[in-house]
Amino acid sequence: MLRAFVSSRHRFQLRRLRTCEPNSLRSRLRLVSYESARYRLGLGGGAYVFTNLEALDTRMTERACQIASAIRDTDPDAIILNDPRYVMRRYELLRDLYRAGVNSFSCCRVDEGVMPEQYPVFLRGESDHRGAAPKLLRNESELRVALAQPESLNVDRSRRLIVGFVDTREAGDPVYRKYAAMRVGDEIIAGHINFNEHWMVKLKRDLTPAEAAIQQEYIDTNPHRDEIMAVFERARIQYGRVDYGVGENGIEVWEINSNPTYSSQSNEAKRVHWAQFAPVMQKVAQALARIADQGAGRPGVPSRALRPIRPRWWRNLAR
Amino acid sequence: MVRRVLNVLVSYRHRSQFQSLRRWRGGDFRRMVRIIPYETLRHRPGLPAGAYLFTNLEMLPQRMFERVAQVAAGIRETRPDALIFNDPRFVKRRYALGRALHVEGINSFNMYRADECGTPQQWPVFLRGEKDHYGGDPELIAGPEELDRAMQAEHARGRDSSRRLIVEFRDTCGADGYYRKYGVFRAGDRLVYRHCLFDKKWVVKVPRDEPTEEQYEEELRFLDQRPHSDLVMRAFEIAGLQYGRIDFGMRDDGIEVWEINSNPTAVSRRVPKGARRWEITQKVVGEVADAILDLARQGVGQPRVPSRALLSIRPRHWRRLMK
Repeated sequence: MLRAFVSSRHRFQLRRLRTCEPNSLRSRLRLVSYESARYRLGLGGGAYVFTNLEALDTRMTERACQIASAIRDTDPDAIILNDPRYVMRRYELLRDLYRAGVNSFSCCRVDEGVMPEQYPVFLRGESDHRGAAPKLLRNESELRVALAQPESLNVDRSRRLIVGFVDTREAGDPVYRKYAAMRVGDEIIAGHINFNEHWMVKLKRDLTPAEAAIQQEYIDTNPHRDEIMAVFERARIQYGRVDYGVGENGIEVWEINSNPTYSSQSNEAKRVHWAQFAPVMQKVAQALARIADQGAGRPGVPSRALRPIRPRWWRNLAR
Repeated sequence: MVRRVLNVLVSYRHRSQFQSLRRWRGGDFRRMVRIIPYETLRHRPGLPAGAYLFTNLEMLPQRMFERVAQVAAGIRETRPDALIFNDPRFVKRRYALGRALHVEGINSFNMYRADECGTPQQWPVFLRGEKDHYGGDPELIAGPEELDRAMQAEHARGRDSSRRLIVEFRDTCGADGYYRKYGVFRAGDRLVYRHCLFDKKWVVKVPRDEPTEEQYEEELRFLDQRPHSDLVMRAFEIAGLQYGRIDFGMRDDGIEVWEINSNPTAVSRRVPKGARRWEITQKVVGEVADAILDLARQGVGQPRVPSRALLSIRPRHWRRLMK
């Protein structure tokens, strides 16, 4: 059994995977919401994976850490993927990758009070995944103007990042590519490539036959496996999807999402994409199933171990 | 009859600071100051007339802080002349303030977030939570290896490293072996020198012993002479706070600001030890209350803020109804 912790608002991703791959996962994957964990009468045995960590607020992050501690205290050999006590989240990861020379760009928080050394940059929230195509800011004065806009003033500035921009297009190619690869346990699975004329490669459009061929080759050859595994190792993440580009200096990592999206065949336009992505989902599901099988027979977590995360009234009752 | 003209916005859990001041002062203060918990804002039909004072900003979780910033923006949009003290959109909280004070040359020490991957320039350092006010008794960390070990322990304890600060320690111990923590209130344009606390430990929080005669004299000198008032006011300006209490230490040529609290305790529930200290407290708290009343008087004639100013923070079902 694999028990996946996820916030209730974002559990549809793993549900979709389970629905699409019922043979591998229906009886092996259980979802536990972070919100409900504190009211549970213990946790069943198996392997555990913590997801969605970059979207949790401080209180929920600390609760996730306490759950991980309780699991580890109960069973020192427990299989825990993405232990929230050690996982690097977006800001820390980007800083670390820059220092390690993997990325050629860095980031800083708005409230650090320092101006970036390199431009262009863009602004984004520390937990944003959707990112509504922010404007590229070419110099310090443009950045200062952007920081004085309501979108920057009316938010928590300690959670807003100034991120360096790197153009990873090949010379003469107008299209940006965003590569995505999954890690599940010890496996790296090449996922897909998004192509777009806009640098914020989020919205998928139809693939041209040439692009479909490039994507298929990427999925088949998995060319950046070792570099990607090294990045996941640095981030201490065993389950998630890394989004990256490939520039002159090698890979440039944009982010790691510990609760990645799984496509569905929602419309005809995505037919080509779906045809290529369905086998990827199958590989992910099978890898998760193998981890679930490794967790078979492991002890669960008794109710008393969850005491630190209980509501106060519950703790008072238990005295 | 004077109407309530200063609306103090504060989180419900921490409203006792203003409540106790209202109880202590009574009279005009009770009539002129209204306390509004942040938690009630999204369900209010609008905001009452008067000036608005945002407090407790450094303690708010992200979502609540953003809601509060939207309220300030809504007030400003609907009433461009509204009187807003401690506008959350421009306030620097503990980390941002610590960095800015270092850059401005007021503080000689710097601070870093634990997830910043930066190495402190000066040792020793200590770890503290970004929102801690009580602070415990943190250990001093002498070098990088010790810091690594401490960070490992923090990880194992499940602390959110993005909210932990690594702060460079600055020794301000006096020749007599006592550390001193000075406190000054700001309310509008007025600075009220509040106290000088003495402790043998470097985290000076609550005085354990009654001060000696020399310490009383020293505290009185501090209250009378009002040293470094220009630097203190500058620190408040950098923080974007028009109300709060600054805690600082002194060095030969200036001050070292430890923090600014936007919801400080003016009157403690505990009676301070010693008749003289009680005397000082009564005098100084009276001045703080007067300064707050001055702020309140500025709110006379300010109109109320309509419901539409709060639209952005309404619950979703409410916003749908409005459409």
